[in-house]
Amino acid sequence: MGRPGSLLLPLLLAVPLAAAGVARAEPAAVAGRWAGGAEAGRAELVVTTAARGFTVRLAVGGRTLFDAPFAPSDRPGVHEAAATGLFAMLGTRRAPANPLEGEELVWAREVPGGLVLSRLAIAAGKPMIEQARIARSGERVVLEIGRLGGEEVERSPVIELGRVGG
Amino acid sequence: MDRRGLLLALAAAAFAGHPVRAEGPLDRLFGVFVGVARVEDGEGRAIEQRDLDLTIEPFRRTGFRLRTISVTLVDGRRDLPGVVRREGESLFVPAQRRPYFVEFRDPNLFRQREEFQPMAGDPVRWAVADGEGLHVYAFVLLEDGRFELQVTHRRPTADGLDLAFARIVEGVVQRRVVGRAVRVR
Repeated sequence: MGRPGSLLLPLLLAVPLAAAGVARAEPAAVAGRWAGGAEAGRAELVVTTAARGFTVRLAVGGRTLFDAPFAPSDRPGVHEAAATGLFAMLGTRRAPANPLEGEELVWAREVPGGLVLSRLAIAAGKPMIEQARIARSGERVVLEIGRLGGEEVERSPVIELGRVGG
Repeated sequence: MDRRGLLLALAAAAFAGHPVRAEGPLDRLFGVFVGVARVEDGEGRAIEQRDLDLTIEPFRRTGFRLRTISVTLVDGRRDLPGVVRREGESLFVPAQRRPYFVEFRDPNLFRQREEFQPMAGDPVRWAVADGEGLHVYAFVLLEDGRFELQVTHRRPTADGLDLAFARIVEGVVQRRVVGRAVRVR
């Protein structure tokens, strides 16, 4: 039997790595450049994973729905839109987004084989929530856009995306 | 001009300098109301009946205070074991440069101001008063990254308020409360 420390060391290394979101399976499942859909509703998706977190750029019908880097939050499987520009260069966290002051709250949660991206804004006093569910399906990625209209989320038809550029 | 006339003239001059505040959408909602409500699950099935006691009153001149007492009935009665009584109070003040009210947070001089962190689960609460009534919203990011949104509408009627509440989790209605209340004399 080996020394107890030899068993403990990998465990001690694994816990902080997992907590930091390193090489999380779900963002990696949809990493790459993807495109598809009809011309009017053509969707373009780019997911780039990094050592810590990932970046998503999603445009549908020429309108950019999400374009943000995400970093792990304090909650497992939940990522928050991260600091960019000067804040990122300084290595500091910016103040948390406050929807009550006109800022958008943007976050992502992991689901099996993919991500659900969400955004909350307050528009003319009413909540505006948009979501994009992206999930791997074989060699393709399926995309579903949702928007809170009244009390229910209205979901658009599913768009299948194929990998772009091999 | 005698002494009485002078006082009247001074009062009129003071009044002219302070025009009467136009009645806003909140004014007709202020009052004390009692009523009943039916609680439904997401499929519209009735699951509870409640008695309601609701107070809407001014707070700090431009804001308002909401006080709610709800009593969940047992077999339609409030004098049987198992009755649940809940009290709630919320304070709202106008948001700066925005057309809604935000929850009032009492600053504590003896404690450093805590940062508002919706990503950590702090509720985002705001309210809108318009021609239709008073609408209160509460958004919470749940532990697993799904969202919960609670929406409450209070719409004035000839003798009180119509009430509607919905609790929505990730875009699906989980709970709905529909009721009415009359203004207390």
